Amino acid sequence: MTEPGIEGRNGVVIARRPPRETTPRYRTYEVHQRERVGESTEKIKPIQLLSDDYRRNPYPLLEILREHYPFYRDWLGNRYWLTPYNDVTSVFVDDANFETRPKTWFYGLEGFGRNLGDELSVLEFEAGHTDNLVEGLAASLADRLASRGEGDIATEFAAQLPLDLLCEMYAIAQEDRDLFCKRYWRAQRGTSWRPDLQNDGRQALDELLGYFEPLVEERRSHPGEDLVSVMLQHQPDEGPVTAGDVVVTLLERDHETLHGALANLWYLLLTHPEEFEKARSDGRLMKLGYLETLRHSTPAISALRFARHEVERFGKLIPEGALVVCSAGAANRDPRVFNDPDRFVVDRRDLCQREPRGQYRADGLATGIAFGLGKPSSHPAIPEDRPRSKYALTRDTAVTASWVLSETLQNMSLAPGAEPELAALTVGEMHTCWSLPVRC
Amino acid sequence: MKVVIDREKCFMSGECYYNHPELFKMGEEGYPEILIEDVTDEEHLRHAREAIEVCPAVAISLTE
Amino acid sequence: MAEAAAPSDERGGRDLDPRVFDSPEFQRDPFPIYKALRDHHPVYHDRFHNRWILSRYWDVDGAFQDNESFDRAMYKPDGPYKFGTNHVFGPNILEYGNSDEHRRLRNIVAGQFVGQKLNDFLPMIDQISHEVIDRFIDDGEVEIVSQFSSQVPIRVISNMLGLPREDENTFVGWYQDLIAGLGFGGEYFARGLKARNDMWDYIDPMIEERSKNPGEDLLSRICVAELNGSRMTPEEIKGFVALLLAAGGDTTDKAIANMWYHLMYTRPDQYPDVRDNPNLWENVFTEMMRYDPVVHAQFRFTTREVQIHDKVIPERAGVILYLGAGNRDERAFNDPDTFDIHREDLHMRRENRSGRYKDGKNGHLGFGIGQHFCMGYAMARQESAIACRMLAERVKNIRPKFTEHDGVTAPNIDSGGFRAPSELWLEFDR
Repeated sequence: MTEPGIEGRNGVVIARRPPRETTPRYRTYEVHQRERVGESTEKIKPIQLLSDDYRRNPYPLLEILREHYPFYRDWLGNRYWLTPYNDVTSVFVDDANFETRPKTWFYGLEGFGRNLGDELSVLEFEAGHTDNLVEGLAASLADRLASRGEGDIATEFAAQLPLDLLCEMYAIAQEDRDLFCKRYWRAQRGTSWRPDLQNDGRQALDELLGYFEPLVEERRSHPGEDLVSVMLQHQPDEGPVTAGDVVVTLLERDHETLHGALANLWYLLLTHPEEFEKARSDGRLMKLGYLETLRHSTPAISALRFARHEVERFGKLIPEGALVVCSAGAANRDPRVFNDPDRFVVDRRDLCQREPRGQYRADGLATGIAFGLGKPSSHPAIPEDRPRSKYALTRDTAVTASWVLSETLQNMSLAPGAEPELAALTVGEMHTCWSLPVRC
Repeated sequence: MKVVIDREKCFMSGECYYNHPELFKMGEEGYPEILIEDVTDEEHLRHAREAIEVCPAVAISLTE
Repeated sequence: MAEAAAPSDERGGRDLDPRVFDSPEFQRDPFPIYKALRDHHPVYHDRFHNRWILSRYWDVDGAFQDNESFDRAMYKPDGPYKFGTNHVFGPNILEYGNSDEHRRLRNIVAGQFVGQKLNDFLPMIDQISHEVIDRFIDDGEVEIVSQFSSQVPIRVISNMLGLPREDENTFVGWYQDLIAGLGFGGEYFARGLKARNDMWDYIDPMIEERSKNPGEDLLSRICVAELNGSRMTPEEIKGFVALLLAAGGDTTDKAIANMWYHLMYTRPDQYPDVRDNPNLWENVFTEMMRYDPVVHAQFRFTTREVQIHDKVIPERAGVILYLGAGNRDERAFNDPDTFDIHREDLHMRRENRSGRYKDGKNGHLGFGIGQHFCMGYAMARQESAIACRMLAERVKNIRPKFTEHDGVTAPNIDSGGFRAPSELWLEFDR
């Protein structure tokens, strides 16, 4: 595993690929059944993929899948698991055969409202305001930690910063913020498979609707400098923007990405002191550390895709409507793509530093698959008058905030006795660090 | 009244000809054959209705 | 901060946790969960397992009959799929769904298990039962599962197929592995495939032989059967034989064990009735098929959007029909949680389709209804009733050896198979 890769012409290290197997990995369905005995699933049981082990540390199980059953039919969970890097990215760009479903679908609330998150005016507003706000917000959170000399990075910084940003952009009144954040968080968690969370989330959506209805009317008549007002100026063909649209736009935000990535980045930095030293030495290295975090420990561990119709891929026939779990966690640790993939290296040289564009590899290097999950943004930063993509925006926000934190808390270290870990709250939710106590 | 057997649905459970030999007999390949074209007799109608009721394939029906 | 488990909702109401379906409690006693499903979630969307669940009697019955909306196969029959590639049996009719192929294959043998054909086999069932009972009759005790129930049906079906009687013990091993291989993979799947391949190696020369010189047996009939002008391929024949061995063997096996369990432990007060009137064995069978049938769940895929109650199930979604739950539905049966062989609201005659009969009684859901109605239904009840009657007639004062019993249980979640007691020790006098 640790043997060095091949050094390319421009000093870039390219992953050394394992020798090609003598038999092809995939066979077509014409293969006589008897030859498929070797494809039996002795090494893993589907129930393990729903177990507490998977919730806490999915990587050993994902490795079994990737190395032995690259396209695994999970009978118990009635789904397929896709794990090799190249296959996962190929599904992400294959809109003709696979579809994503909005969070409202998981709620069974498809008529609730429209998602305006991809409208240009909304994106422009978000990009501009996030840049203006992030330094100040991060600094105030960091100062609070510094004045106390101790604190929890996961709850008081990583989880708090995205919520503060949100409240500022939506211009939520100070006294409503606590309740707003709780409702937002409940609504996000309600997309889970767990019925108690679903019911709770549904209730939170109703409460948010009740909150936004008067607010929308007020800002319609007195527009301000906030995201709701920007949305209200938008004139969709299907009728004017309603409070339901505002709530759905809020729901469809990729919430995990900033919160989870920040928490995972700081978890990794604090548990890898040498890498931390590198990252805090240079703003550019902090950005690389963030990119490496998305590869090594992505918060969004898998993405769900549904087959639009019956389609043959990866040596199997996928029935119409089948659920394909595209495991970013497994793909990001694919040794065919990354050298020594289980190691966290801030200045990893076989990781692309640019924004991913589907299967195209800028500089010939692969990126970690994370939010946006490898799909090119619907609003890339080209041509120039376009706002930055959400990917770039989230990346810059996280890096700026992390830089502010590391500058403010120069002597930060893990609290003595702390044993932080990454885990999801329930199987399938964001895989991140929920408690990261530090001294500074 | 006519007894109609939907051969698309029938899977030869044999319930009709086993229980009601007055009306049905086993034909080629195990499919039932109807012995009486036009069922008028009340007794035969009773048999037909019972056969409709027990057919697990829901393949038998009565028409005018 | 991480939560290990969801807070449980005692009423099973709003927040039924789908992880319960993987729990040992559910394997042993699913009925409280069934009740919660029926009462609070008649159409339950289980996102943990990516499926929908129907549990009320009339919903399950309706889905069985609605072949237009509910398909058994996950692939479209006219698509490019090579049947059998994912199935431990090889290509078999269960995979063909609601297609013409399914009907063609099914109708080759369906007629073999009913009516006069079945009657011709009854003496053979008698004889095999006696042979099996002879082996333990002098012991004064018997472990029903291993010594009796798992012995009779496999010998009957292999005899019908015309396989050599001296190899019957081998078939027992194969069919147990095949059934276990129907589960969710792991080592069971590997063992199932091995059993299938061993069986295919064994049966290959026989297929060739009987295709040329067909005899009177079922295997010959399958080999030479022509529908729409063509014979089955050797692969199809082998898949069919695997299905017959497994489905015709294991289900009846478990049925016999369940009948004895319920008579010995659940309603011992009704055993004297059965002993004195052997015709009642059929009632025992029917009530067992309602109260706690061998097969509790059937899987279907929707072929289009289906609205049931206030919920909409999307197209091509997996749906579990819990017939075990429907059978305990208060909407169909009075006092459904009581085992009663004299039950007046259950259709007890030999026809066992589900749904309402004209006399106002309902049939149990155990065999289903419609296109996938169990084709071995008559055979299963005859065989079970005969085998049980034989045993009851040849012994006196039969009674449980132990007062405590673990009860009927579903197999391990990873393995396929059906609900039955894992062992059942009985004592008797001669």
